[in-house]
Amino acid sequence: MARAQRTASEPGDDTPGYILRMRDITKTFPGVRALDGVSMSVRPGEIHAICGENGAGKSTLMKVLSGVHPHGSYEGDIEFDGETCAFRDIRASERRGIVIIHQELALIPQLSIAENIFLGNERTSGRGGFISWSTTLRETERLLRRVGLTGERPQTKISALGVGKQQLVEIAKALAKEVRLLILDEPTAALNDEDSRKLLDLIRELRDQGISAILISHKLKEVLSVADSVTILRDGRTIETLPVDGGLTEDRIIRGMVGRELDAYYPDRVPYTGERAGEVALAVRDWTVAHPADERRKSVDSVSFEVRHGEILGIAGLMGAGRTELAMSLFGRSWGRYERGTVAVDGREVSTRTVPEAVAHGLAYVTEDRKTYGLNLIDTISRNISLAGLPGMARRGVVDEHAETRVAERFRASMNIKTPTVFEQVGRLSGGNQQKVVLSQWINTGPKVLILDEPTRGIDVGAKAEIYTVISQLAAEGRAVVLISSELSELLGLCDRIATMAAGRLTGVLEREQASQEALMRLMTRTGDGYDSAVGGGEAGEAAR
Amino acid sequence: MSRARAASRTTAATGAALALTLLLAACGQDANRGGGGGGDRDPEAEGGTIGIAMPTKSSERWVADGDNMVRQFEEAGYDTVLQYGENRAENQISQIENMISQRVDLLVIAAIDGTAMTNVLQQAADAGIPVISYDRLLMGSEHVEYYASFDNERVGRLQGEYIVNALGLADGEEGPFNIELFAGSSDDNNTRYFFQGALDVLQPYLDGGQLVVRSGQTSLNQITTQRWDGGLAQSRMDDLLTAHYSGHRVDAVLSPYDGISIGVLSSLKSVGYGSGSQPYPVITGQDAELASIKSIIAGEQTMTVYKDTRELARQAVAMSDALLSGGEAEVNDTESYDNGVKVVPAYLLDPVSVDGENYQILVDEGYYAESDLG
Amino acid sequence: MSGTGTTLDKAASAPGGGSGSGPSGGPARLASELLRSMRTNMRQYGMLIALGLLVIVFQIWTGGDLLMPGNVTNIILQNGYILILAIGMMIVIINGHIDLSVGSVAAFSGAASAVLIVNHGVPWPVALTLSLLIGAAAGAWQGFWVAYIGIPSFIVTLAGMLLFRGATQLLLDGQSRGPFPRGFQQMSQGYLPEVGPYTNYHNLTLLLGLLVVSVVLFQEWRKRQQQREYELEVLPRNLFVLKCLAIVAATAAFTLTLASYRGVPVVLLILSGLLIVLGYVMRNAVLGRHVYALGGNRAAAQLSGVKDKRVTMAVFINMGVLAALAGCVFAGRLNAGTPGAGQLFELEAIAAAFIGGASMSGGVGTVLGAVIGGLVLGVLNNGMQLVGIGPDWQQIIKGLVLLAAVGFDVWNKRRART
Repeated sequence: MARAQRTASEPGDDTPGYILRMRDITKTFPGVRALDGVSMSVRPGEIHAICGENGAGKSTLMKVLSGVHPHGSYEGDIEFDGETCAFRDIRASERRGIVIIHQELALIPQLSIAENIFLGNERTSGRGGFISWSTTLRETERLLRRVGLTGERPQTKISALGVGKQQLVEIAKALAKEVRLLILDEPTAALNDEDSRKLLDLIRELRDQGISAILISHKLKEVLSVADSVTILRDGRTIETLPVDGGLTEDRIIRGMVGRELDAYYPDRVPYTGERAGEVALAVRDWTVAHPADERRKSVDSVSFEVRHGEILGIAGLMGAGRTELAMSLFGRSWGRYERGTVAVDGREVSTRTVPEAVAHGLAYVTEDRKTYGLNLIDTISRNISLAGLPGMARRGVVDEHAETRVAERFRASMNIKTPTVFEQVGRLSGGNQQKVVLSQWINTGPKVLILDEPTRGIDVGAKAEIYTVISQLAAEGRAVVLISSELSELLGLCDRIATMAAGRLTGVLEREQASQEALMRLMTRTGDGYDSAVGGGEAGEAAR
Repeated sequence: MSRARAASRTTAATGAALALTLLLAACGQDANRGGGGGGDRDPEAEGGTIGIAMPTKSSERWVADGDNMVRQFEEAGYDTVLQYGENRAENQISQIENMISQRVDLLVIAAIDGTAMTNVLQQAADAGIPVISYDRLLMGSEHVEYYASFDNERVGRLQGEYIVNALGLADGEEGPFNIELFAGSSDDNNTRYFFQGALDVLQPYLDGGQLVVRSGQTSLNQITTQRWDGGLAQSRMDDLLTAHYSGHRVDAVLSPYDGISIGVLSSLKSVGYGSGSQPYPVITGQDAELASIKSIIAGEQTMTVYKDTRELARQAVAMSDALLSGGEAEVNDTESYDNGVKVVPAYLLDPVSVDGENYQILVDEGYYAESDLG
Repeated sequence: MSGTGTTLDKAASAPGGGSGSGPSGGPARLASELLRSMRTNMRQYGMLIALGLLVIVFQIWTGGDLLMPGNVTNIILQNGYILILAIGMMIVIINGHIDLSVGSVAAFSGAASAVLIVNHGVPWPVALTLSLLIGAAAGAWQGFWVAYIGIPSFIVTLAGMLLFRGATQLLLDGQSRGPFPRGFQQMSQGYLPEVGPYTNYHNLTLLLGLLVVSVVLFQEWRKRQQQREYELEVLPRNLFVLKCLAIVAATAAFTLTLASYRGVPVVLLILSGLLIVLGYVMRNAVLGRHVYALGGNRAAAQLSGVKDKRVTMAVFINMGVLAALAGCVFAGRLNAGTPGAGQLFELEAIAAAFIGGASMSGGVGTVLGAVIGGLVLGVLNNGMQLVGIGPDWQQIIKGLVLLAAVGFDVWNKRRART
């Protein structure tokens, strides 16, 4: 297998001027090579963006850098500030001034701003290990001024802050640790435009004070506006490092991120020609769901769409666009507070108030987070596969274990689940095989409509191709498939039509022929003319057909 | 996974089991040395084996009783199996069953719950094993040969009389004096006798208004102390003091047992009793536990009732001897102790009242060494 | 105990077992095959081995007293009610909850039957039924708060522990009530009746033993046939024969032991019935599967259409009924309903479940495991009493055993992962 090009740093290039150099980093998980000889370098005082599709290896790379994956669990070297580093854990990297701010904020809501900022890094007085509150509060105020959070008192509880302010507290926390290299993983994913702008301004200011930053972001506009250079990862390899100057465009970055011939991956679609061909399988009208914690916030706002038998409808959207919320609320109202809207299956309006009802009406939902919502990791493959369809395998409440085993064996063969027996624990399988188990579970319920939420997230290329084949087979059998994905290439490769969502609303539906990554991206970022658009009515909800 | 690993895991499991075995062996020896047990029965023993079931090892009194009995039985040529039930009736039942299946020749039982033993006593009877009820009466069964105890009503009377004399009531003091009443655990048959004995003495003065129970809690089910727990008594006293004695003084506390007395004292101390202006009230007790004797010497607790448990053990041994040799045991009460099915012949020992003036008798009789009290 | 060993093989080899492969070879091969199939259910076999070792240690140490027929019967009688509770507790823990109130509920139902029988002259079968219904109601009460209101089970049952204890004292007015009629006592103290000619052994027990051996062997044979039919891997022939022989030997030994004393205790029949029925439900019924799924990953199970509220409710009602049954058995044993009954039962049942393979986070464990765990504690108690270890050391040793059992499990899992 070809090694990645080393673009930014040529071998033997020892010119000082890099604060961080990572060389030939390779990290494998059971069954997956997450990083394959990745190299990148960051200059002092620069904002270095990392772009790549989901699963390209960005987060893994940062975990290696910050010591979450300790030295010895990967190959390659890390040089920080001219010294080779071997971090045993996150504290070791923080001592050197490398601080990572994760996608999911690591703040404790019940504690105050000051307590959170100095958590694990407490300012103590004397030797007794007692917290010096005066120092803590004084320094907190200084840090809050530095990140522009002047309106908040250090004693305020985190739970009283909005997400944008929490993000700033995270940065203050990093500053308290004498940060020299700040790693931000999708920092604006959960923020509105206003908060995003503030945050990016702050990162720029910090750069001007000499703090380097690595910015992981899907939002290419952001990248182009703040970053000094961009490293593009794809499938666990470094593709290229580009300087951000006037000449760099989003399209250029997208080309690097996508970069492969789509056709090789995606199976040819066999059209469904059965008796129900062309009939609408699922019709959703005016579906509106409020956020569970905030009734005024509409996570899904007046969404209407249809899917036909044998059709694959893609749903594209950035993080927080409301795709998962839509899917889960449709499926037994498993998310948020239902406000209004109807669901019809095969032309008949049905209730999907509870999961069993949804299943009974032929709906199936394959979660994006298989470990949390999809699998019982400590149980066997066969029992996981059978779970959702268990009543169908039972007579008078007693499970036919042989039928169960037969079904599991059938899926093992047809889905190519790599395991010695179907009695192995699911937790021991690789991500791709786990995903096949979740899919099997739902295919086994014989659904009319399958909603697949990020079915290829975090799994390797080979397994992806297999799952694509399964999806197209499902459609060929006449099932309606709703495919939610953040990988535009995936949607373009598989779907008949692609709907886009932004801020809880459907912003457009494109036929496969009209759709391109650029066109989709335009619709996905169409959030109206400002951050207040989520409240108003506007032009949302263009129904499909 | 490799076979080597599987094998090494099994080895480890075996190792753990072995370690456990060694640990058990080590403790067992320890327990035997400590005189607590006698599992290895000596077939040479002439008299046979006596099973002794005691309520709990968490009380000094029962540990002493157990030790006394083991010593005296062994001196008399018997083997012993001694078990403590840790105040749980089901433990004690299991222990007695085990003794029966170990084929002991006689059982001496100080019951945790005298009413819960009928089944196991039937088993003992089926196996031809006679039973002596020790200190607490075994209820509801005909298979109880003898009862050896102190005269429990007399214990209560001694406590009551002490209060009457200390307050000078018999000499015509008008009072009114404030008194609070405590009783033992409701599941202990003796509780009733102790309380009744004391009440017999106190009742005339309560009726006459010379003694006043400010809390109004005078019926037995209001004043019992589960498991004879000093901590519970302390909490109850705290509550009584808060609710009824702001601005009033407690002059006497009827306590049936030293552990309860100590709890009551702690409560009194916490609100300032024991200082010059506010001396301790009269506080009774029972069992002459070391802590209470020291407390009496220090002028805190007023009195306790001393029951020479060695004497009680001697009675139990004598009764056992008589039963196993086919003779009649000496009894001094064949009327009072009706357990619901039969009147159990009893030998009652006289308890002695001990206070700051006569505690030396404990040393004189060798119950404590002088150095213990220092 | 050897009697439960027979069913163990069945349960243990069901989910992950039967993984032996290839034709038979020499004795070394046989041993390694044996290891291989044991490994698949290390925790349960581990505890069974520990139980076996414990029995051997005490058998030697007590000079043979431990396995005397009378003492084996004692162990069953002394632990019957704890084992009943442990079975229910295991299911609660598999479901991802805990029940601290079982001791109090047991006391309450025992008290209820005492009041009904002794004070009101209700016939004992009626009183028993009413007591079980009271247990079901108590379980439903707690299940309601846990499942429908969403209060953590630890809190709900802690409240229940106080609530039902107080109710017991109220009901009994602080006093013990007894005695019970003979029939009621038989539940905890009785035996199968003596029938047929005098044979030195208890005839019905022998028949029962024969029945158990033939049913179990038939089941083993049928399972093997079915595995063949579905082209699943089966145990090699020599291992299979070895397993059958072990089953026969263990059952025979246990049967003869009981038969040479007074026969099968009634409480063992109750226990076996629960073991078979609940073991079957947990393994083969949709309901049982849902209990495991909810404990393993509640969110995923809910999204798979498991009716979590109803399942949790059912689990707590079951626990309530079993607690009531244990309470009645216990009351029969004491021949009195007492206000102090059942104290610390919850902790013993929980300890038994964890020693028997439950996991704090739920989703794993078997009903049989709970019984094995309970027997480990029971044999330990009995053995230590027989050799005269005082309650001080007994508690220390039991504490260490609990720690060792769960520690072994944690260690075992960690090894499996790396």
